[in-house]
Amino acid sequence: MSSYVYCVTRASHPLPLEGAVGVGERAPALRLVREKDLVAVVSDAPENLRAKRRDLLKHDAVIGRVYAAGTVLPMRFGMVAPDDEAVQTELRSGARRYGELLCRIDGHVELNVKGVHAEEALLRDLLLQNDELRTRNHALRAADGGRHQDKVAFGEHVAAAVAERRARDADQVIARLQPHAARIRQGPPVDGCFVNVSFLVASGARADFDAALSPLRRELPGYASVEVYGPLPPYSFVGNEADV
Amino acid sequence: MTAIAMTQTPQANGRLSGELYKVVELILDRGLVIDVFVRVSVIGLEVVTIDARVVVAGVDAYLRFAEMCGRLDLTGSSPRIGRSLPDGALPLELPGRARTEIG
Repeated sequence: MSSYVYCVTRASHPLPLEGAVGVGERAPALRLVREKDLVAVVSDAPENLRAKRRDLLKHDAVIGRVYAAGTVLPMRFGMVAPDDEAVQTELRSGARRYGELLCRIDGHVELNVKGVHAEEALLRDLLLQNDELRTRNHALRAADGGRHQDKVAFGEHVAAAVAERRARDADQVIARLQPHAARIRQGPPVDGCFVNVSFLVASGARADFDAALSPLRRELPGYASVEVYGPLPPYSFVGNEADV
Repeated sequence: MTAIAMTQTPQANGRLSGELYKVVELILDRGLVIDVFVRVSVIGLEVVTIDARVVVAGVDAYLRFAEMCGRLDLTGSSPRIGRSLPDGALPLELPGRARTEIG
């Protein structure tokens, strides 16, 4: 039976897992795979696992239990080892890497920041501030929408202006928050967000990070809104690419 | 903190499901990867947040922008002016429009 892996942490972690169950329809029991200073939380891997909401919640809930009581290296959703022995072998061969990662994130939390533009308000602002775009928009409207190629050409100009605003506002978000973070990592692109970025923030810097949000929100244009999600287990800061 | 965590159901533990939805791309695309392990298929996603469109490129996007711009009413008050008004000063006879302009 292959083993679904949730997270890796130190053997000294209290691991308060009573009542928690694993992913999959059968809600398999959790078990621990220990190897010297490290321990992995695993369960039997269900067959035909898909990224269903229910299983994403369970995956995150198991990690959340461990995270609430100490430092944890959360696995990406869906990592499956051939068996517990293979997990143990990995803990042994990767002991140094995992030890370093745990030290790096001790006392830190991940805060994920997403920024969204209210599209209509952004377009309105672009047209009001850009005479050329406004004139062309007016001309297309007067021509009852205009020819297809004219619409595409106009839309391309608008798109470039939108992209410029997205980049500008993303830079602003990062510039204001980065000073309070130990590390920073761009998140995957998310539909509708002009910025998706995670910060690894030391517990002691959390208040400063939070305090930087209000001035940031005031500085951003009225059509931009910024939300912070977290504290999260440090999903974005446990990969090889975490230095980027 | 531990005691609280243990009295909650697994689903309620940690974070609310609504917030998980907002960071689902991190759980699917970040996190520790062990090369020698297999990653199960994540096709058939119920979650759509991660299905990111490239929103600012391509003919479809250009046409959508052009059409949205064509529908905008630029003669009304700007969003900034709308925002600066106290709540009570919003034009009550145009609630839908006021909301749109506030964005």
